[in-house]
Amino acid sequence: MVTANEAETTLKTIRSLMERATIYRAVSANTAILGGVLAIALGGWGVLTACAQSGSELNFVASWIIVCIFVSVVNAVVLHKQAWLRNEPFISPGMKLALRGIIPPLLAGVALTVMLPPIPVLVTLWMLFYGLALLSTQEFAPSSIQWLGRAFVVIGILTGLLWSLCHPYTNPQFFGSAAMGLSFGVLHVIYGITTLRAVKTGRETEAVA
Amino acid sequence: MLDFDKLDKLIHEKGRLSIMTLLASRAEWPFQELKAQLNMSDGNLITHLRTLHQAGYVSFTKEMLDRPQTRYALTTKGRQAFQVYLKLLEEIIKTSRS
Repeated sequence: MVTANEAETTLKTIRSLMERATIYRAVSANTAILGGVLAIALGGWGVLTACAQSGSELNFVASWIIVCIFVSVVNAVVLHKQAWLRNEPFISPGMKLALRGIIPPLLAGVALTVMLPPIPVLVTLWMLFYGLALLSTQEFAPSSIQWLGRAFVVIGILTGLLWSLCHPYTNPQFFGSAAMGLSFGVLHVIYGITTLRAVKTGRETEAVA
Repeated sequence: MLDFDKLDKLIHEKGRLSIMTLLASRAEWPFQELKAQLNMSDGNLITHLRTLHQAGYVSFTKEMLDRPQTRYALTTKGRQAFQVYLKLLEEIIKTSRS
């Protein structure tokens, strides 16, 4: 005979298992590779213009914001297509959960960008807030997203420390461009390639809402 | 009065209940993901899945990616049995409270 207590415990177990089973990949692998390649290109271009002393802080911020908006739009289109192929709504429960976690750290990043701090500080903040945004989805994100989030937080901290050590000797735009290309560029390319391989071998799902 | 015998014994077993719950949460699950999520041994998971398959609750498809992969899903019968099981649990709680 099943008691009410036992029934209640069983229902709680079922609910927690179902919540754990919700997986949402906020960054599509293909978009990550595209974004990574663009970031490496823009970082490289930034390094060159910094060497030629022809760049400005406003140009730096504007060009990275344009790339960010472009890649975000492409990511939304890809996620929409994947949801459509699975016959599921674009704004799924998984996406709502993800947005609830992602939006606060991203808004904090936007607010600090408007204050236009020095480029190396801005770059450090972008890395940290982006990493925290990804980590806010870790309860229901595939392990590759969790690793990407952790990598951004660690590299963000290291970038801040490195700048505090070498700022008297380094051009801020050179430092910022190199850091952006190596972090947002290389990390996204690695994430995209490893995710595509994991999906191909069945170790991870591309996106489940 | 509730008839507790109506509670599906096949689903009520702890391991199989976890499997049914996960299968109910998504359209399909690759074997490796199920194994990782449930932290079960290959043999244990296969035995439970075979029992559920024999009862008509679970279907599977095999495909060849880089290596062979089996994906499991709930059948219509399995989904209905799981819903009946959940309703009965809720009724047990309601009855004890009233």
